Amino acid sequence: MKNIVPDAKQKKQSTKISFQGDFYSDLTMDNMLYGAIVRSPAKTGIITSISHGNLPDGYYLFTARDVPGSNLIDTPLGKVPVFSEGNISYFGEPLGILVGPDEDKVYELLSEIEIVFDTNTIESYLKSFEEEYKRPVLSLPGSNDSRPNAAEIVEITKAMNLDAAPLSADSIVREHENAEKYSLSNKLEQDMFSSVIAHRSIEKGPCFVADGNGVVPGLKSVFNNASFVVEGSWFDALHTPAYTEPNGAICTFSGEYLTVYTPTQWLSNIRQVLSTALAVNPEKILIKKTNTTNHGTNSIWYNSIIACQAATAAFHTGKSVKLVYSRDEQEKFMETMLPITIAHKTALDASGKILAMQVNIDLDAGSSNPFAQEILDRLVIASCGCYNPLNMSVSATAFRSANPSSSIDLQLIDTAAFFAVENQLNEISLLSGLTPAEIRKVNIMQSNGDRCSMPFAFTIEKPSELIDALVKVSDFNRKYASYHLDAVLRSTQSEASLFEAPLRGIGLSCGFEGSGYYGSGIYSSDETMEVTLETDGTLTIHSPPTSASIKEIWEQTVSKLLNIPPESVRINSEFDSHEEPFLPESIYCNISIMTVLLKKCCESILRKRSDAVLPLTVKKSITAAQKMSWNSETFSGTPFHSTSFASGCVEVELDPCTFREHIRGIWVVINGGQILSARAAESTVKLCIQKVLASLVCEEAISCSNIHVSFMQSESDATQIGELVYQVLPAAYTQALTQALGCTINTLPLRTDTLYNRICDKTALEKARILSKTTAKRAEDLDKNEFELQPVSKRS
Amino acid sequence: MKIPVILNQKKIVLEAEPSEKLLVVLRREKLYSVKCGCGKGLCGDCTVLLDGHPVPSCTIPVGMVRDCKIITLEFFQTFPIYSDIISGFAQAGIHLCGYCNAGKIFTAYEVLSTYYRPDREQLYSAINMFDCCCTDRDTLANGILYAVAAKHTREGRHKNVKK
Amino acid sequence: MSKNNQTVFIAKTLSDVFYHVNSVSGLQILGGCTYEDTIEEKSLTVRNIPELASFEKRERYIDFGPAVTLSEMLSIGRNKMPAILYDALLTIATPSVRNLATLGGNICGGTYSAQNSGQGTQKLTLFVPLLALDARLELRNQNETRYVPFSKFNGVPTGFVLTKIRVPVDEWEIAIYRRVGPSNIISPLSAGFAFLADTQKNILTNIRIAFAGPIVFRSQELENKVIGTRLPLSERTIQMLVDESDTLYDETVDSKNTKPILKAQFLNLLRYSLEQLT
Repeated sequence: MKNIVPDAKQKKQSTKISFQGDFYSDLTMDNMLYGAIVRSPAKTGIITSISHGNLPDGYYLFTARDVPGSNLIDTPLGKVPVFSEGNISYFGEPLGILVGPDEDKVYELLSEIEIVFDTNTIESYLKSFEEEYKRPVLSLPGSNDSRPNAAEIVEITKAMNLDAAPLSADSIVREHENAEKYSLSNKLEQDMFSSVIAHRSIEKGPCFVADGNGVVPGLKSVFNNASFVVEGSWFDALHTPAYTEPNGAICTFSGEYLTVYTPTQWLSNIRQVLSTALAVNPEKILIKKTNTTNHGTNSIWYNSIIACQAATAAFHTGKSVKLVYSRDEQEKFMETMLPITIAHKTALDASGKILAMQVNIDLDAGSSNPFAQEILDRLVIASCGCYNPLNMSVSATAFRSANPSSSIDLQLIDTAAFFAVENQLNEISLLSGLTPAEIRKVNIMQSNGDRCSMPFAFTIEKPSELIDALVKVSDFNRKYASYHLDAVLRSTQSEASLFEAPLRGIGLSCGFEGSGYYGSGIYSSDETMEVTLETDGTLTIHSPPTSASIKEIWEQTVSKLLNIPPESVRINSEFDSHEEPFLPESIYCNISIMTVLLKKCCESILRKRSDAVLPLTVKKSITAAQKMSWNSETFSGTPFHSTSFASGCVEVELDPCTFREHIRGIWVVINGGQILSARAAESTVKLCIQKVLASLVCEEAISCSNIHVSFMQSESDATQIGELVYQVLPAAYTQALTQALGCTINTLPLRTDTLYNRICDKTALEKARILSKTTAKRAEDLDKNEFELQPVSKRS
Repeated sequence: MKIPVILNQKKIVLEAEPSEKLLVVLRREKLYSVKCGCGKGLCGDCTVLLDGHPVPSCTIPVGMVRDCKIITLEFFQTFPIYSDIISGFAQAGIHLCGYCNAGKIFTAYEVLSTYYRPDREQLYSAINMFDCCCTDRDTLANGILYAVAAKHTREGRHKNVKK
Repeated sequence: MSKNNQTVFIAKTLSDVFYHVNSVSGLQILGGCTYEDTIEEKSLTVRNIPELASFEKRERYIDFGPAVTLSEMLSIGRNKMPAILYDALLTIATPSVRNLATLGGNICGGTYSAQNSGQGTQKLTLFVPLLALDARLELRNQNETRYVPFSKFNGVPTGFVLTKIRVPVDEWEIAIYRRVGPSNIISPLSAGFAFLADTQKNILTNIRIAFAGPIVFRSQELENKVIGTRLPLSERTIQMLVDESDTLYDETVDSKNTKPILKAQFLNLLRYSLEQLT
């Protein structure tokens, strides 16, 4: 489709960026080379050399030593290498790039690359392999004296990969004494070996304040004196399969200028990273941003590293280099979602009011993750959901592991927290005797400003009314009571009656979606909207490209406010060199903040229109006062510019024959402020429901034909609602399954045999209980008989 | 291996290994409407018309398509029915993301060419397994229905047509 | 010849197919290639051979060529073909994959790849309904024609070609098909269950029970025990049959290498199906 001819006049270009309406993977250039990444075949170890015995002409292998500038890129949580310098952090870590004119030949040569490991580290890896997998491992033969046999090394290192899916590259591992080829030294800093890379903890509430005697009661005292204490652990690794364009880049040097075609989401970051790695003046880097289809955190920051890898090859070869990740690489290294574990301990009073919430969050961040702190912070903020515990203690830790970086969609960054807290509320409901709806209404934050001791302030409008609306539309109370009674009766009856009545359950969950987070450590909240009323009466919005829905909403908003036809509104995405968008793309696609700013711009234009000379340009951004509503030091205040709220309900029925669930209905009620386009809003929510259903069970896309979406009437400013369903549906689903099965489902995603395994476990447990009761009863009877016998014998 | 095919109504000879997937070969021929998706034939990103039927080109070894008629989205855009589909999608508010266009459009084409007036069951059975990341199924179904209407308007009404 | 010595032969008639099968050793016949990821060094495509890509509907049976696509089979309509076959077809992948996948490939596919990889056989979706329907396969070479009942089918013998699949279209009072396991892929958890039953004057005159995936289960002994039973079946009879099936399943199947959920699903589905007879 598109053959790009590098512009000979690039030196004269004043724009450093431009937005292409293409996919970079569809672009080609003359004499272009294709690249493929050489990856580590082991999780850990030290590589001493990477080589190919006989690369044909025109094929090149570049590694860390070939990076022209700095191989180590600064991120908020430490340095990340463009190519590993020898010390392997995770399976599949990039070691180099192989380029050549024939793509198939490149992949063929990739499988012939020789990678040499330091044998000492093989032994230590074997030991860690043994510990991790709890199985006996052959010790390295001859490790005590002479050098091990090469063939045996091959066998052992093949065994290393049993835990990992095979890559296309077959690596040959052999000992190579006195290697004089590429010798990669370990330059990584000492703190790379620490496993904790980010932490956040907060404690708030009267129990942390010293009493009259100067004694701090602490959380323990609350738990000891509570009417109910509920504990639960919840595991979330939800990931929506998406078959969109894999990540990659095309880089080309033309004189001093580096041109990069890539689906970057963070223009300022990629420029800075390329400049560091390639030792190129940032002004000489031209970014041609192509269509973006992935929105995980890895796609935001790691894309810059990928561009550096391709650019390194382009630098040395003098030709354009195209690097496109394979689907396998995309799934393993760009879209990996590692599990988040959240443990809850909650204390309640007799009326069901939450007295204390203690939350521990563990996040496996992977080997490096610049967003780890941000993810943790957002999880902490959402850890207590929309509820108002009297006392709260939240501790969140992100751990480094020998896995690729965990990637989370920025819009779904706090989904795991809602999954945990909403399921916890369900457990609380069972214990306290209140229905799930009642327990939530008792504890939910009200919009009257009663924030109690919560350090985070959210504006949630009419939450109780919203829950009531959901209960009504889904007939929740009647169904819940009925299914609950069934479950109780079933638990008292024999196993044979397990499938006599339909196994049904219904779950309810609440959640909010906060947009315009003020506390980001990666970037500041500098959203700005610039609008120009032209001389011909048209209006130009100066913004990076947005989605079609947002464009439509902006056109309608402007048309309504300024009384001009929607066709007269256009979006201009050309930026001068000093106006480059600083923030990641997902920030600009934030409908709530940007739409509010757009409205303010239009109102300002209305006021100035009569006096001012056209063209009239107005710029609005978030005020300093708004930003200061969040205190980063104390980690408290109003974290979001705006918050939308929703409640969702899922009803399931279990097929007793196949142990699979069938979703009978999904109901969602949303308060997202003013709905600017009802059709777009409903379509967005339904798409989100579809995506959630596709991610609940591995390799299975669940469907539901009975979906109801409702919006609360509101005149407040429009808020982001695109991912609200992710906050509410997963927990409602697991709660429904828990009720139907009679045992807690605390993990997502499930597998097709998960429910069967849970039933088996539950049955085995009940049998064990019955057996132990029977044994105890028998022992008791024996004791009794003995006692009775004694008087007889005494009498005789 | 030389494999003669009729590609976009032109007889050409493809030079490729027989086991190479048709997707790879078509992209080498600079037909980029065929995108790399799941690689298993489920996502629809790589859909082409093979002898008039939408198929996933990522699963087909090119050695199998000798003498077959292949139409990609680039050429399909010249068909009148394409305009019906696009106008139907626009009416339903569908904004094509660009990556799964082939899947959506050819799925719509199959429905339009199979049924004169598809009912809900026929419509959803055609799109149910089609997991698109940018359009929900209800909106896609509406788009196809609008496309049906557009096609009828263009072709004129057919009396006594069996379903 | 290609640089990797991979060749795909083309056949235009059945005679061409026989010729290639006889003259080329290790020849793999390609269907739609929707299941196999790689093709062998020498393979033969039978896509456009009229004798193999057509089907013929008769009063008591339908003769399908192995190269008939699954979409073409669906186009016959639910009313004109066995319901369990139609229901099974609908569970396979997506409509676009069904435009490509062939009946022959679905029957032979799992077997072929299993033979080559040395793993246990994974039967694909249509195996179960054809097994339950007592389909008959026609295998031919240049000189000989063999008719093999589906229950005895263990792969196409060397030198032979699958040329026809005859599927009876008897009326069954109860026809149940269920697919278990993930719907997007074929895995060790994937299997199909088929149940057919016919009654006359409250007596069970005919019954077929089949279950296949990583294992194959069909027991004439079990079916014969039930035939002739007066309906409705008592709970005791149903329990006895389920217990009997349990025992037979354990005797037939290597339970160490199959997931336990499959057995549970089979027994539950059998119980459910027998209860429909009441």
